[in-house]
Amino acid sequence: MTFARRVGLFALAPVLFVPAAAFAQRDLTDIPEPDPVAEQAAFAPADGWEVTLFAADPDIAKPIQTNWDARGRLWVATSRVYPQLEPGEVANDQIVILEDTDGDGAADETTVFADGLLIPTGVLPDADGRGAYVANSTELLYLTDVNGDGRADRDVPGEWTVVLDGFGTEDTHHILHTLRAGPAGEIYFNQSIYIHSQIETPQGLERLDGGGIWRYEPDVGKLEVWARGFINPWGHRFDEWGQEFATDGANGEGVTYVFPGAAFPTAVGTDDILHGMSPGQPKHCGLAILDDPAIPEPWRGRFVTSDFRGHRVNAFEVTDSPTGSGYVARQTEDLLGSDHVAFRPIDAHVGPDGAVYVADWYNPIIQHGEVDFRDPRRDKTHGRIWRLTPKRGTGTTAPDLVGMSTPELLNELASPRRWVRDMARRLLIARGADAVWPDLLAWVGDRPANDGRARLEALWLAQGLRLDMPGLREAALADDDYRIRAAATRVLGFAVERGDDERTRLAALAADPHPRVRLEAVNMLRRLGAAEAARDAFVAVDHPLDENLSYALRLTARELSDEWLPKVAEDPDFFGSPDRLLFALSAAADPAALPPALALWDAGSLSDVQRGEVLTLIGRFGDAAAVERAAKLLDDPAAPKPATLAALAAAARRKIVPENEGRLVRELLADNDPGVRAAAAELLGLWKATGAVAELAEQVRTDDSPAARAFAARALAELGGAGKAALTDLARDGRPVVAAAALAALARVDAAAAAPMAVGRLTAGERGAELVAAFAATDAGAKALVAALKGKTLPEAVAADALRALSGRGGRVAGLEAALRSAGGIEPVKDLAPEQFAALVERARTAGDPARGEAVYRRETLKCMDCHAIGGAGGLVGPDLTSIGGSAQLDYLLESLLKPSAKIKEGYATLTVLREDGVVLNGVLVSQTDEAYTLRDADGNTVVVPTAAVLDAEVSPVSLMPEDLVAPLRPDELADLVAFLGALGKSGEYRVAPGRRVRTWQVVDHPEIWGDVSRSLRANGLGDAAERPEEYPWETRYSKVSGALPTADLPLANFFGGLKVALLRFPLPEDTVGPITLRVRNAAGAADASGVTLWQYSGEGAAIRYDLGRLAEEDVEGAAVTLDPAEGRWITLAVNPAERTADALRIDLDDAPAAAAGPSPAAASPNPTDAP
Amino acid sequence: MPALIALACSALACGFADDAAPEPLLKPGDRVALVGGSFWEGERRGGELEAALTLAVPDVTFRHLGWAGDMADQSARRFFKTAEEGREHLLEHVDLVDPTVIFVAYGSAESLPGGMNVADFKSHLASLLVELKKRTPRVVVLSPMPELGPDRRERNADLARYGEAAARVAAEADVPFVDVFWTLEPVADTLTRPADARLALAVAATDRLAWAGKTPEARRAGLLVTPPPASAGNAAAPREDVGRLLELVRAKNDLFFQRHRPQNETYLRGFRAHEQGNNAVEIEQFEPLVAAKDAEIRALRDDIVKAETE
Repeated sequence: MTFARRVGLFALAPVLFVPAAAFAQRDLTDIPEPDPVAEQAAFAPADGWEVTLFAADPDIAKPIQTNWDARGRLWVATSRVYPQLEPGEVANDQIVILEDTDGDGAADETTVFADGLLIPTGVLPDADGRGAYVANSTELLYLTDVNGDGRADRDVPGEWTVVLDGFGTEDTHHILHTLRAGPAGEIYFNQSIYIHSQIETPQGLERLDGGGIWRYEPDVGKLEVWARGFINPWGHRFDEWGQEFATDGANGEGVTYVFPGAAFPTAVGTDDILHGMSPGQPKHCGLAILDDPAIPEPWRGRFVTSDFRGHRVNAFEVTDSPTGSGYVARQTEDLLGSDHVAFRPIDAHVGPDGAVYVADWYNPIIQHGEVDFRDPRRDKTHGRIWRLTPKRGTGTTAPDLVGMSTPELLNELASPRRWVRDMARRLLIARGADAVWPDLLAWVGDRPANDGRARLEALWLAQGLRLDMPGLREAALADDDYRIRAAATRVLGFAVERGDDERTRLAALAADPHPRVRLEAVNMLRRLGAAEAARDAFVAVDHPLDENLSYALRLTARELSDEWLPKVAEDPDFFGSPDRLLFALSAAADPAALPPALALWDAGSLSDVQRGEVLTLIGRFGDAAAVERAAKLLDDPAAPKPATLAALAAAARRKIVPENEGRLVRELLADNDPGVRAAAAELLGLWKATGAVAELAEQVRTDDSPAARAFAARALAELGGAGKAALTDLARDGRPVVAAAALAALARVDAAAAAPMAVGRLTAGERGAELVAAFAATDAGAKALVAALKGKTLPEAVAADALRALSGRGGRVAGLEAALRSAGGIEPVKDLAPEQFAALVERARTAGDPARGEAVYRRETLKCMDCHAIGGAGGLVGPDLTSIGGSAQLDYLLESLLKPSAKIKEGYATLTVLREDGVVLNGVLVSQTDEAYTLRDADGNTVVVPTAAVLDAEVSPVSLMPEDLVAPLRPDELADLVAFLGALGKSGEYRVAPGRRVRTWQVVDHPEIWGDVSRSLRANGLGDAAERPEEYPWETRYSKVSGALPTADLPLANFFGGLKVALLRFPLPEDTVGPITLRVRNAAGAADASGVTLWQYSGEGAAIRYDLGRLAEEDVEGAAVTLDPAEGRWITLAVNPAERTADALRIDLDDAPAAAAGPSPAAASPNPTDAP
Repeated sequence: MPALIALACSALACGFADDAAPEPLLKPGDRVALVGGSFWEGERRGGELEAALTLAVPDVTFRHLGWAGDMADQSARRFFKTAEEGREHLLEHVDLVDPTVIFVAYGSAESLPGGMNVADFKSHLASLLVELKKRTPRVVVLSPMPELGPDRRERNADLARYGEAAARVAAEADVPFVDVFWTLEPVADTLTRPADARLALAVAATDRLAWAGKTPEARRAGLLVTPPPASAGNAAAPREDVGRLLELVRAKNDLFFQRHRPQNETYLRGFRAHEQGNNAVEIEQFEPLVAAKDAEIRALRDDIVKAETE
């Protein structure tokens, strides 16, 4: 019956192929031949690897997740129903088991273990293959084969065993997924950003809003949130030491190190977040570690995760961070790439035979947010598992673990193969403590004293069996290998949590010599939930803190503040040191943290930084007395002024104003630091210091700092009638900067009066983007400006400039935009008729030139790069476009350019926040806590809005991307742009190469002060830009997709004798520790350092100079230089376009010394002279 | 008859002893909305209680609005928003069902660590009853189900407290209360699966829920447990036509689940509805499918009753 219905549905499909109204079908002809042979032919595996087909449709359709059992069978969760069950369709998705019984590398036996499922997005079989956990929409099921027929039996007729129930389903590619087995019998599963789950378990009600990783102990039914955040994390994997890593299908940060309690971008309810190791990566799915002896060097140990949009399997080398608790990742060449548009690698594993298995979802269409649920191009029937093997691999097979006796299985825990050890351990855990413990004791006793690895395996096994083996654990905790100590620390933590009286042992590990062990100890202590545990954890403050440890300690301070704060109130020395205490107090986010902090201040031993932290607490939580106290500091020359002013401003926003401090603040209006002047002015406004009107007006008139001027004007706006009068007066000032600052402030409080004056300046041809933005900040301002523009004419350039300033503000300013367009005579984009749209897509497909399109993309006026990044180079406001062409069809791309709001990527929805002062803010929501919303606005700025000041917040249906960005383009230019975007991430020059290249540059560019720049260079030499960078106006520039920065794009400064040079700089990558080689190339990638001089500067003394350009004449390979990052992390270049023979500049970074690239070992030598 | 019935009947005496001749809570032709947390989600999948009541009373339709993990404030239905909006979501679907009688079963999730205290539970439940009584005067409150199996003393002490609180709220709101907890608690250690418990409840409570006095209705509900269970406490498969009735009930509930709680809410009705919201038309297309299953259930029920009375 079901079969008949399915046939019926697919019989309908061709009918939909006739040209209908929807543009979405424009590219249907691009749907590739689904023959696996064709797909295989398109593969480009890394050197030394070959790809063969392990399994394919019709045995499996749409594989979503895969996991092995100990019998060497691959379990596959599959769904034809995705993205949404159709009315009348019977949910009949399957769990399929694939087995290669004859060992020829191809599955020859297929079993449907279960059907009748609704979009099962994860499967994790028991090691013995008799049962499996399945993520099934709202439920986590456990399906088991009771009668041994190989298929799941239903516990109660018609009913699966529902283990956990109530997971959210707000998006079917976010629902419960990525089931993985942990080291000690526990299991993990993930949910993604749109999901909200509230789960009833015997031990408690557990909640997770947004993305995160769940941890579940099946034997006791204990569920907990293990880590939070991410956008769509479909990769999660433990390494052989029990450390874990994740990848994300939208976060673009590559491999991410995960530990208990960690929060990552988008985590709900916190703004304290950690990041992945490789920002700027494409979307990733799945994660495998190639830690099998059968994997040849240099591939052994690499992490692989799939760029499913770019049709490739990326690889990373992940190594210990040289200084901290975490890791650094470096991308290597891809394991596998393909031009086949339906190849969608989504999961990867090392198999029982040491080969790498890649699950291929196979679909030309991905996503259902941007592409219609019922788009007929969706593939619902195909799917493959590919098997990658080293060409000269020795190959291996897995032993028959399931049939082994317990002593035999224990011996397999010493296998060099992780796959074998993991499966043996899981089988032993399933056998239970009674069956295993006597043999386990004997086996442990037989291990050599130096076999820490085996002890760790035994320790995890004991944990899984819930056996307490303190001797074994203590030996592991005393191991010389910090990786074993770190893993054992976690085991100990769980034992203490369950009641083992070993907290002091755990506490000692918070002072372990290795930061990773300390991190584990802090995280496990936090879970104990007691004041004493917090105190133990804070011992780690005495040791160097990296990002992970600082985070873990802050989290500890916050989560346990109700426990330790009362103890500190009783005993100020509860933590044992002021440093520990102040760290905890600063992190606690609790008003009760203030009194102990003030006591520390009184004790007098705090550093300036620490006093700044106390001031921050005063600003957040201080009562009138505490604020009065901070105000008194204004009289103290030694007090940190910026921190004091910031604290007073924060208190003033909470309506706490000290008495009689106006004089001291007014004096600061004359401070040398413009930041202090601005802060002082702001404070006077917040305090409603009406006595300061004259001084503030003078400040607006005379201060040469734009920020200080603007803050003074805004302060005047807060000061009632007198302030308004002063602003009106200033608005008539002859100097445009003064008048504009005054008008911008006046717009907030008396828009009706300010608008005609502003329009007067605009009609006179004055550029007024900021002024218009000031009016647009409030509805009253926008309305007044519209009224004042009526019947007026603006120069087109002025109107266009103003319109750009309004980008991303949504429909609220539509009226103002219309008024500006009308006044400036700018025709709005005409909506394309469907035929025109279709013709343009066709033009992009057939005649679009990606190279020309890239030039359009890079135009400053289009601002593409301000908001979007390619290969990490570009703005963060909009989605990364590195492989957009791999997933998006041309019609979608064109629609996104013309109507940015039609489809908005997850994580990029705009939030509109109405503040209590009437200001409306728009931006992408970065984080939201009880205290504040954090937005990223259209300019890439982070905007924090205290929750208390928010009247209303709602998700806007309008994208931050301006509607009319591409309006000025001619059709051919638009077609080229679409062709370029469509090529991104596909093969060839529009795919970001895996190696490291400099893609983000700073260049000296500021037309208004070119004279000053040139004079300074002539006076001090070009190296001055390296040694005193703060004196030069740097602006960001981005390389092309190829990594090349066109010479023609470089702004030039004048030097002696008509010489013109471009000055550029970039930092060495943060993770660089050893020598690094810079290879200077041309656009085609050939070595070419002509015209290039380079400086490395350590922060003191003279910069080290390398004249690459001169050496390049006799030694082409010499266009490379190996640098020691200890000599300075900033690299500055001078490029002389007259000497540069290449039309672009590309710099590759690699770890091989320069000598390896060419015959000249001394490619370049330091040259102390600084003349050009 | 089966041990199960005997056990359950003694429980019935315990649970309803003070209510000598109660009004039936379910009448022919009723449209029933089932509101609550995990209890109704389990019943949605199993269908035992519904099948029993379907056999007992003619022409009754059931709609499951249960949501696992939900509490009396409807916080589990919050999506991207707050519990208040979770309640709006529930009430919107109650209005969709347009019930003549509403059965409300909360108190289980609330009683867990991470849930809510008794005072909050009572106030949220009371305010919910106010809203529900605006829709129909016939609102019935159920206590939570006891934890099954051994080692459940501590957990059941908590559940009993929340059950008592629910009873008090029901009394204050002047609506009937069905004490599921004390009906099942005495036999709970012999039952291992929620399905068995629902079955026991179905048999024990049919009189109270459906019809005053000893009638053929209770006997029909007993059909669900024939033939006698293989082992004490756990039910074996019911006879073939009753088994089919259960399957129809489950199929109908699966279809209505897609109407009540479709996947991809973000795109269908949420903040990305401007992209794929056109697909939301499909949600309503489940309604005729549910109605068709109702008709099948009614026909099969009539056949079974006819065969029984002959």
